[in-house]
Amino acid sequence: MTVTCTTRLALFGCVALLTACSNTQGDENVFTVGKALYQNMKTEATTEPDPNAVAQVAQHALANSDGALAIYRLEKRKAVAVIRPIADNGAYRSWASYGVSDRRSVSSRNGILTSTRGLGNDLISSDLSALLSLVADRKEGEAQIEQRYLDGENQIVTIASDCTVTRGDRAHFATPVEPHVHVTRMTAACNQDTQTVNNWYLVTDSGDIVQSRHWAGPDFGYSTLQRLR
Amino acid sequence: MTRFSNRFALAAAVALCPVLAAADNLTTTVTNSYGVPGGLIDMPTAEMAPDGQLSATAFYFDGFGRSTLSFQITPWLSGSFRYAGTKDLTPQFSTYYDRSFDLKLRLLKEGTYTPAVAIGLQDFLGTGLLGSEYLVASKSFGDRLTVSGGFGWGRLGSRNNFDGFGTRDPFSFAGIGTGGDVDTSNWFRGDIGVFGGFTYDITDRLSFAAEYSSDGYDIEQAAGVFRRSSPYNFGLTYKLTPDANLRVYSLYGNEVGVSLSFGLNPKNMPVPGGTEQAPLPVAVRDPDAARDLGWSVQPTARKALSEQLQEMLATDQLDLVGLEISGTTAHVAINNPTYDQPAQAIGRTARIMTRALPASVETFHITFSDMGGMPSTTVSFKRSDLERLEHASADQALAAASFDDSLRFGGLPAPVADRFPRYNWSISPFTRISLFDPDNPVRADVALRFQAQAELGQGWVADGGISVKLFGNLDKTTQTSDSRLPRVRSDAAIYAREDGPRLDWLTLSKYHRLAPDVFARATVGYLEQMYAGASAEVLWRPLNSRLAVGGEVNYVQPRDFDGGFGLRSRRTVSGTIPEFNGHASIYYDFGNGFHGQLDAGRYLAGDWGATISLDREFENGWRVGAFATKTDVSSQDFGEGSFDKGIRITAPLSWLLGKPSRQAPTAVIRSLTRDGGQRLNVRGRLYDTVRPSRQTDIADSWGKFWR
Repeated sequence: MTVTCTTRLALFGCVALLTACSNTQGDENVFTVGKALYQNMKTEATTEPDPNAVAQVAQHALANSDGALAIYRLEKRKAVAVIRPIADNGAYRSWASYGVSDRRSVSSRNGILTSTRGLGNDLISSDLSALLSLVADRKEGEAQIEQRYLDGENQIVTIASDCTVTRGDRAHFATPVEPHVHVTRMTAACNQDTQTVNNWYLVTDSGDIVQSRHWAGPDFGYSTLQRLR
Repeated sequence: MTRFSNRFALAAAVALCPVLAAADNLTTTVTNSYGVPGGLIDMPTAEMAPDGQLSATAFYFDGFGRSTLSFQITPWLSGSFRYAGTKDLTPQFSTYYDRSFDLKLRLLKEGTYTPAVAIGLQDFLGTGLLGSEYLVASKSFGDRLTVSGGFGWGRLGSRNNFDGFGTRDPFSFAGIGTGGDVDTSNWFRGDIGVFGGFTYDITDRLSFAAEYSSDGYDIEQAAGVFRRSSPYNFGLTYKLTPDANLRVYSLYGNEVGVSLSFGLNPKNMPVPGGTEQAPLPVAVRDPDAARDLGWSVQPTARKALSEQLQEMLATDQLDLVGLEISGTTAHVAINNPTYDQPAQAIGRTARIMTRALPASVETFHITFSDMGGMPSTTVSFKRSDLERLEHASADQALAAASFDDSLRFGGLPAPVADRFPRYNWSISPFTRISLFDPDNPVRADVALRFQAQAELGQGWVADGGISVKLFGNLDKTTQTSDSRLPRVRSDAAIYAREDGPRLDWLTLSKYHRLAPDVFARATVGYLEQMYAGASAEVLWRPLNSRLAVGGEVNYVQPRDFDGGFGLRSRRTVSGTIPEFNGHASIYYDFGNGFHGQLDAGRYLAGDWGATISLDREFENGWRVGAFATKTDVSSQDFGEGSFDKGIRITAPLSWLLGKPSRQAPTAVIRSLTRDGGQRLNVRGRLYDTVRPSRQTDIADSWGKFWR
């Protein structure tokens, strides 16, 4: 009896180690579920990334690639990444992390984060047209924006904000490739149902936003998107 | 417009910050000693749990244990299922176990000056040991204090009472074993007791409760297992997490009790939107490239296209089943083994098509073709709409999509070369659980199962599963059947006793489209643990309808107890198992999260009757429901429980894992399995197979189209 019991336990352990005992991708069993839950718990404890490491990636990217590069940050997530464009669609540009193969992406419109994919609690889409036309023209005024998310039942929920756009001071903005860019600092105080968020944008004289700090969602907090090249 | 957007913003705030949802004072995740939502101890309140909340509570004090599962069915209706054990209550059993169901209905919401009022039925099936009814009012004062008071009948009318209306049959152990029928003649009859109490939140995590109980514990005192020396109970509640509470109590002057409850709300997904990898972005065409049709005449180009599509779809864990491509139109048939939200499978396929197909192709058709290649629904897009709407609100892409029944649409793509046959296999551990055996309420086996499936194409699927028990105690069951019906299920203990490897099922199925909106299935082989035979089913499920109608006929032969290939005689000690059974079924989606099903026909033991099921469904795949079967078998012939009934919970793995998965295990909790009202457990029934690929479910999941 003891012998059979041990054999069975050994067999059980063998299966526990060979969690991918299937030829089908995405086939879940008690072990893969347990492993995923454990990993979910571990990833919750995020720490601020090392600025030097990010700077190194940025330098490497500038030296070893052509085309646009940017750096983005999600404040509440403490996530920073150097990103490169992967697709353009009209005014929208989609980006992925430079030098990383995992498929996560963000999209922007004229330098402001409009959507994210694969980050959890994703920003699904944004309608920023009214805000962008004021900010790019460096005009003051009122603008309504919408940001859309998925709730726990995969239904779309929209956070609508009424923004008051004001023009700030002129300033200098420097990128590694353009050390002197004249910009205007535009701010937008956006009233939502339960809070007010304060966004700002650095706009060139030709209407390009080279850096933005823009509220991206309850789980992300503010997003910062900054042009590197 | 402002009101409109505010409402959305509010909905977003509630959905995204579950903590805010608890702001309603008379909504609580705390449960009382009966596991029912409420902050008092042994007494009920008019409080409700947040809508959809599921909670499990274990309560214990010297010799008394209660395990309860509660579900907030709607914001104003709560249901509970309980398994309670009392030691030395009666000489028949060392511990007397009793199952019970409760319902609590909120009649009035709390107002500024008026209390919330609820009416409740406790242990309302039969003359239960815990049977009582109550009418209770609760009112909050400020953020911290809630006061409740009410009238109780039955158990809750046994102390501090006055004369009520009519008389009530006292509880008697002689009545046990036949309980289960709804007997309304005792409801709100007999003496009326007055009870009351309050809860006070000392800090955000710690609260205090005190109550005056009108429960006399008469039966327990008569049995000498309990002494009630005071009507006052006190409790301290510590909130471990927003959904988990640890409570300690001082009970009736002498006893100390403890309870632990865990809750979960299907609406609060741990990671809304999921953490699965990003989709490929839409590739927008160069405006001039669309006129180039040069590729379409080259056969090698077509083959290369098919291979590229297949590879890109495989990266997103989708299967290319068929492809038809002309100069301006492409039709892709896919099998979706991965995405529980069908719109996500469509959205990813459409984006891959924008990247893989030549610029001249402007019209995309995508057909769901699961179950070995049975076409179901075809979704069509203009490629330029996908390009235009990638960054817009998802409802615009839904408006731009068109849906057709695949058979009505016609022109189905030819299968891609080498797609069939395809073999899938897996080895995984699983558990078999037996509940409510009076000798041991929970018995379980852990077993290892090898599963294999061969998709043969044209709707043919061969499927099998073999399991080996690793360890467990299911074979220790000594319960013998005293059934007066043919033993169609009550021999389960004999099946569990066999130790060797067993063939769980081995079937060959053919899925087929008979006509637009009509689906058919035929299955032969070893259909389930206890039966072999053949099963045929037809289902009418229109593309965009809440209603579906189906029928099923089965021919069965009972299988040998050892789980091998052998069959045994249909004759059992208490009757012969009929060869034929079958049902007509109606399915209806009420649209507000509730789904109903009615099955009427002949059950395994030859009894005729109907099963009614009602489920609360969440868009993320969670389902919580109950079913009851009444057949022409009398309560006496049926035996304990009077008729077959149970509750079932489906938990989608995608919710738990935060990434797509079509696996969604269902747990069924039913009272003792008897022989009346039992159905054949054939695998792959049409309704749940077809429904996720119809327009209704695709549109409901559209939030994930661009995810």
